[in-house]
Amino acid sequence: MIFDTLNSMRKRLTWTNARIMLLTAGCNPGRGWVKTIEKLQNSKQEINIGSLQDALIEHNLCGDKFTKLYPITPQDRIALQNKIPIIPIADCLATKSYPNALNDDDLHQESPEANVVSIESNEDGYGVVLSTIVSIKKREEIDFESFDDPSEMRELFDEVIGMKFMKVQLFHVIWVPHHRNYLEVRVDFPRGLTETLAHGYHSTLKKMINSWGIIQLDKPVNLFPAVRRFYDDENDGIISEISFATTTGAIKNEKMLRRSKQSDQRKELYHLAGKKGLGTEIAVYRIAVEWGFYEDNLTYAPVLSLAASGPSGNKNGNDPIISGALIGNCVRATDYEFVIERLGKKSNMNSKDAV
Amino acid sequence: MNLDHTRTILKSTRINPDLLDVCLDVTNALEGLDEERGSFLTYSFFVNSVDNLKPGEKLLAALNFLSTFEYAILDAHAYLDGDRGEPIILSDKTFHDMAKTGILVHPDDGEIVKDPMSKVRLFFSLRSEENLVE
Repeated sequence: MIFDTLNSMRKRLTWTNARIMLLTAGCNPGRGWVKTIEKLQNSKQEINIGSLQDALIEHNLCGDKFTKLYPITPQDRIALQNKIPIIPIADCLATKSYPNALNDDDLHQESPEANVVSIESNEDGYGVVLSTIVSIKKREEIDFESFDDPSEMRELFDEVIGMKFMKVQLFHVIWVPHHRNYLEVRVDFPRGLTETLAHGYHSTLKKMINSWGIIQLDKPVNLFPAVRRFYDDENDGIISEISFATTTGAIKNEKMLRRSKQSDQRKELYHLAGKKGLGTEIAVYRIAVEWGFYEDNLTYAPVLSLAASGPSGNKNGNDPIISGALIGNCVRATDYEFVIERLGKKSNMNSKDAV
Repeated sequence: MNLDHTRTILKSTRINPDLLDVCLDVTNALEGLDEERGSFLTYSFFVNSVDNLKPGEKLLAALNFLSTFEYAILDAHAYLDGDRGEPIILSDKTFHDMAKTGILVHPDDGEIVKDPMSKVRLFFSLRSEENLVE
């Protein structure tokens, strides 16, 4: 069981975040996955599998997600509270493996359609977990030793890169928070997944919710108002990337490369000098906000990305549209909830502000 | 940053005269930089800042010396090229472990990076608490 869990973590988490998860469960990781699995295999130490599985469930619910928010009333919440626990769980390989990911053999056998694999509830809310399978393009370095004549290849190339389509399992979540007046549709958004595909999954989940006959979701909340509010609030996170338009007709994309106390793009010298030289307001339409906080001697570093396609909306006077937020680099529910709470405060959450 | 003291100390060391010249050139290139402007210094910066300074072993040796000797004025850092072209900055702890052990675990996929010294890209910063990479 422990190795199924470790292999699931290996598929779903970055090594940096997996180390945090292992340490919180009382496991001392080795150097990298191979050494860690060997170490735990040979260790006489009793491993807290339950704790690791709980952590994996939280990551399935909260890891890298592209989230859309739909306003609901207290009556909607009660109706959903009664409906969700009785939604049938699919009889499929993904359900049998959950919360672990499918092993490689089962991954190729499982059908790609969305299957309900679990109903989850905790102190933050309750919801439905669905599994889908998708093919993602992945770039990998190919070892020279793989070729018949490695030395010839070394003479010809410095590196050899291959592209392949890999099947990846995704866990999407329909979540009803206890303490917020909106329904969250969280689509799994690992590296390699396109935004087009993510929107496609959102449509599928929205149709499913509407088919329950309890609420009819229309358009998600437009999160664009949060962009400027995050930019203007220097006490809430650091801005690592922004895109903006200038009145001189330029589109600028600025990104900080380093994570340190000076890494805030808003305060970076070049950005400040540019704004001063311009003398007019910049129109920010994309932003990435990062936070860093410590808990139990471990560092959590969640990231929120809000991206409109451009600085202007359609029709006169309309804001650009941001229908979903990418909430990434979350290890547990703690960091996800930290971000979503701040996003809620910075967004207008009334239904009149729906897209 | 007061670099007069650094120049005096460098001239009093017994390092190879060619290396000393390059160290002094690099030190001069840092004149006038504060912590923020000196937080991400690449080879190109040094090459572009100093006449007749070419990238190569001498520059690398000078940067190595200036970041490791007793009165170091630079810190060395590193990043990996991500698979989408974006740099993955290594924490200082990860980088120093790699320099000591020769082993680097990729921060994303958790696999051992083969021949890490050929894969990491170095950059430097003026030595200060503000410029540490966490």
